Amino acid sequence: MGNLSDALIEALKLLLTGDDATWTIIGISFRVSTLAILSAIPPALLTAFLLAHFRFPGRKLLISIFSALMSVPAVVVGLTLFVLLSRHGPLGDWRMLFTQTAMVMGQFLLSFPILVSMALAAFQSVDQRAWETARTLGADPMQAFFTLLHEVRFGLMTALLAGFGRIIAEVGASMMLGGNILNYTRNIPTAIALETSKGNFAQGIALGIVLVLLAFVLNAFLHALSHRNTPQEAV
Amino acid sequence: MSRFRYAFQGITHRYRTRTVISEARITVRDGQFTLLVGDNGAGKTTLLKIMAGLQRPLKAEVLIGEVQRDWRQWRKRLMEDFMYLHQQPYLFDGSVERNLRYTLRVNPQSCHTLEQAIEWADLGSIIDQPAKNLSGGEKQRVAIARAFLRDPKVILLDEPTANLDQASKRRMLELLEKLKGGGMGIVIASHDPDLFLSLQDERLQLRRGRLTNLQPREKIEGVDWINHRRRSPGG
Repeated sequence: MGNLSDALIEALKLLLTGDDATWTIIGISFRVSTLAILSAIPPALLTAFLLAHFRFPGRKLLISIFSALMSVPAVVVGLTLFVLLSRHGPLGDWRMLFTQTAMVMGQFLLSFPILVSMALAAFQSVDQRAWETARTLGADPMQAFFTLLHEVRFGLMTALLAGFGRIIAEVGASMMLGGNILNYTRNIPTAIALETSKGNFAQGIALGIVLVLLAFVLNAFLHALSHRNTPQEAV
Repeated sequence: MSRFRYAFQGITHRYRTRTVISEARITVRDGQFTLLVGDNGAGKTTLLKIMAGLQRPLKAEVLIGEVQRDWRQWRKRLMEDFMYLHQQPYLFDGSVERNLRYTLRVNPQSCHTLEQAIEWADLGSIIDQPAKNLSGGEKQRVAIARAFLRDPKVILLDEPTANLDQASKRRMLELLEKLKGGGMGIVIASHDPDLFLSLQDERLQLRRGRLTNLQPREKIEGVDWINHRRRSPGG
């Protein structure tokens, strides 16, 4: 018990005194996950919009696949990309393994199905009249698309936060694709795993506190958004 | 407003194996008020959406001026010149003012101003209210005010007086009268034909996929169209 309280005090010191190693890890985590989610948003929104507004063969199958991919373990995504990016893999010439770019790619793949599925649900929550109204009022297809984005902005924000929450805390893909290299690819989850295995609980707890705080902040955001999101009128 | 004439010919549309519209012909001119009657499910909404360029027909040709082309070749023009209003208008998230401003933003060439639209449709008392919280009659007035700002050649209204109280119906009629007076072509699908007796120039009936011209206006006066019998001189 004494060890735990000592570790907790030490962890708080690391965070509050601006410990260089700890904050570098936090910075890498946020940089990689932010890049991943930002690069996933445009194609995911477009995919969700197409799935919501167009009927084509295989559409339902695609929706089911994206839904299933939401729960694929991060380590499986990491393994798949590892095989592709490894020296003898088909993308080995890119020499991306154990880089932040590889981590971004892994987190992109993890967040993409979440963004698509949740954005699809948001687009489907607005009936066809929204699109038709925008078009008949004179909006071109691109203007109408952005009008629709505005109409479902709270649902999209929820998707964004859920996707970010998933990738900032995943360990499997980051460990396999980044290699846990100090000051380069070591992020919060991989650092927690490493420091804990070494018996250095203080840094692990400090980083854990950051993840827990982040979870609270994201949930508070989601809660606030769900309250601001006025229910759609009955048709 | 310049003089115009749109002649739709051979409009045919199917839902799976059921033909809902078959070889329909309809002509719209400036300042002309056409009433479209028919049972529920007769295809009135489909016909209006085809005319507005919002729904692709199985087959249709359109004569604009002296040029006859396939519907697909005229679609962009139809979307520019026609405006469709849903039975229950979709108002975008935000205030009434935001809805009007949106119309101006996507129609920068509009010859009307926001202030003119507010005065024209008497929206001053509700201009700051959230659009989604308005009553049915107020929503219809906002939708008509958007049409005023958009200023299309032809406005297509789908059951605009359904579920409105008498006062709201009267206000709607006044606004339509002003639009007609301004030279706008108007086509209305309605189950409330008596309401538009003073305005209508032509009455069409859509029944079993066929569009038939009932009687010209001169012969409509004095007829109880709900019961399809001639009224007594006193009633």
